[in-house]
Amino acid sequence: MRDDELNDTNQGYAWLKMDGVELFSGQEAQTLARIEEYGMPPEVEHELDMAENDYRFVGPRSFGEFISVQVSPLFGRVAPSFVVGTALFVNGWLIGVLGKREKSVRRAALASWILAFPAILIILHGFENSRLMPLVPTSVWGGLLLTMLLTIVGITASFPLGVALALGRRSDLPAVKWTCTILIETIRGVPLITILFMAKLIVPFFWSQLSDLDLTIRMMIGLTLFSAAYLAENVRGGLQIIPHGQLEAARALGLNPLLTTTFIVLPQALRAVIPAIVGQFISLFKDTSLVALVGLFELVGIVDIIVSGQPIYRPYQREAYIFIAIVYFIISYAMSDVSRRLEESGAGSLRHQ
Amino acid sequence: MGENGGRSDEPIIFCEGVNKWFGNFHVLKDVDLEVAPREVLVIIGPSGSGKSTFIRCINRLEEHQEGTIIVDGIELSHDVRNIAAIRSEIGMVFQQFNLFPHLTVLENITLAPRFVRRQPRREADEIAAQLLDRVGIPEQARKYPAQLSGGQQQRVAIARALAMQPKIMLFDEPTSALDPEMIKEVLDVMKELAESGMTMLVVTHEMGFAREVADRIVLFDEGRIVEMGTPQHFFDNPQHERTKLFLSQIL
Repeated sequence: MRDDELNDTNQGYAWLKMDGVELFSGQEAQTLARIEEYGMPPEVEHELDMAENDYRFVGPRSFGEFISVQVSPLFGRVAPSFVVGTALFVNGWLIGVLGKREKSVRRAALASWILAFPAILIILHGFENSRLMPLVPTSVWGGLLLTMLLTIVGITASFPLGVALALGRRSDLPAVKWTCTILIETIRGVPLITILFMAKLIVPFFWSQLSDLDLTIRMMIGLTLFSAAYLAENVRGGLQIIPHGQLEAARALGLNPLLTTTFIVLPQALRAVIPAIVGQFISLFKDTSLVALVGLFELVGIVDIIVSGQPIYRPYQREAYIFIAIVYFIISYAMSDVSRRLEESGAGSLRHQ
Repeated sequence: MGENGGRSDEPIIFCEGVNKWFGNFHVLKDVDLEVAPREVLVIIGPSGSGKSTFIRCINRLEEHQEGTIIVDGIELSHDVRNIAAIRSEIGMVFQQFNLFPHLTVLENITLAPRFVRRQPRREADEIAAQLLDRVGIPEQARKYPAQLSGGQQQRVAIARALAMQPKIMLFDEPTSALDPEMIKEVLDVMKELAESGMTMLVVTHEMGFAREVADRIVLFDEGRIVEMGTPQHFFDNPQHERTKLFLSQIL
C-alpha cells in the first residue's frame, strides 16, 4: 500500500521497499505496519491534542464546516492566552495613563521592570528537585521567548557599552582611543554570524573555563558586542554635532569633563540620534534569528524544526513562515512607534526649534 | 592661594610678557596689562588683532605659550587646580550666547551652582530667580532658550555667569550677534553690573558703551596693545597714529 493513497494532498512521502524491507517509510505506513503486527490500539478517552489531530480535509467542505472544524477549536485553544494578553494590555494602558499624572506610578513601573527581569529568569530556569518549578536548562529555551530574551539583554547591555565606546573613541588619551577604535572596527568588520560561531566554537579553545559558560549567555555576549559597535558609531555621529561653543561655556562655568558629558553632551547627542539607535535595536531584534544556525532555537529556529522536521506539518510551511513574518513585523513596528514618540517627547532643542 | 583683591592698588589681573602663537601665527605679542579690582576695561581693535584670544587666555580657554598671567594672586599655569580655582572666579559671556538648548532658562542658570558648588536645588533656584530679576526677565524662567529673543538669551547668559558669583566678568563681543534693537537692553545690564562694582573686561565695538562706562580703554592691533587710557584721553586726545586711524574708521 502506498502512502499517498491515504493522503489526498499528495505531498509525496518517499516510500521504498526493497527485498521486503521498508527503507524510508512514512508515518502512516509505520502506523499500518504496527496495526498489522499488534492489532488495533485501544480506544483512549482523552481529548485529542492539536498535534495528534489531523485537521486536514478529505474532500470539499462548506464554509460553515470549515469554521467549526478547523477554526473554532483554534479559538478554544488560544482563549486563555487571549484573556491573559488582554489583561496585560489593559494593565499596560492603565500604567501609561496613570503614570502621566502620578510620579509614584512611574517609579513603581520602572522598579518592577528592573526587578522583573531577574525574577523572570529565575522562574524560567527553575530549581533542581522541585516539583513546582522544575529545572529547565537554557538549551531547551526556545521560540519567541528566546528571541525576546536575546533582544532585551542585547539592547540593555549594548546601549551603555556603545555609548562608552563612542566616548572612548573621542577621548584624548591615546590608549583609550585606540583600544576603542580597534574594538569597534574589528567587530564591525565581520558578519554577525561569524561572531556567533566564534562564540560557540573558537572561544572555548582559547579559554577553557568559558566552554562551560552557557551557550545562551555566549550568544548574548556576541549579540551585545555586535550591537554595541554599531551603536558606538551612531552615537559618535551625534556627539559630533554638539557646537563647540557650548563646551567652552561649560568649561568657563567650571564644569569638569564628566559633568559636561553627562548634562550637556549626552542629552543632546543621544536625542539627535534616536532614529539611528532604535533602528539598530530593531535590526538586533531580527538578527537574533541567526542563533538558529548555532544551535539555539528561537522563533525562526523553532518554526523551522516544526515545518521541516515534523512531517505532519510539512504542508504548512507557507502559513508558518507568514505567521512569524507577521509577528516580526508587529514587534518591529511597535519599536518604530516608540522611536517616533521618543522623538516627539524630547525637550528643548528638538521640540522648540 | 587667593589673596584679597579688595584693595584698589593690588591688581586683580596681572599680565606680563604674554605671547601666544597659533602654529606659526604670532597672535599675542608681549602683552602687559594690569586690571585693578572693580575696574571696567574695554578692549577695542580691528578683527584679528588678538583681543578675543587675549581674554580667552585669562580663563584658559586658550593657552599662552610665554609670559605670566596672575588672576587674584593665582598664577595661570598647567596646574589643573590653579585653572579650576581661577575659572571659579571668572564668569564669561560669549558672542554666540552658548546657552544649553535642551535645558530651561532656570536649569541653564542653576546647573553649575548645583553641581560644581553643590548648592541645594531650592537655594540655587532662588538665586537664579533673583538674577533673572536683576537682568530684567524674571518671567522667562521656565522657557527654553530657543523661545527667547537674542537679547533675552544674552541676558540669560549673563545671569548664568553671575550665578557662580565670580569676581571678574569677561565679555567677548556680547552684542555683536544681536539685532540693533536688542543691543541696548544688554548694554544696560552690563552698565548696571559695572556700577555695582564688578571687575569687567569687555571686548566690544560699542563705542558709546566704552565712552560711558569704561574706566580704561585698551586698543589692540596685530597682537599688541597700542594705546591705553581713560575714555576722555582715548576719544578726545589719542596719541598713537594707529589709534587715530582706527577711531577715524569707526566713529
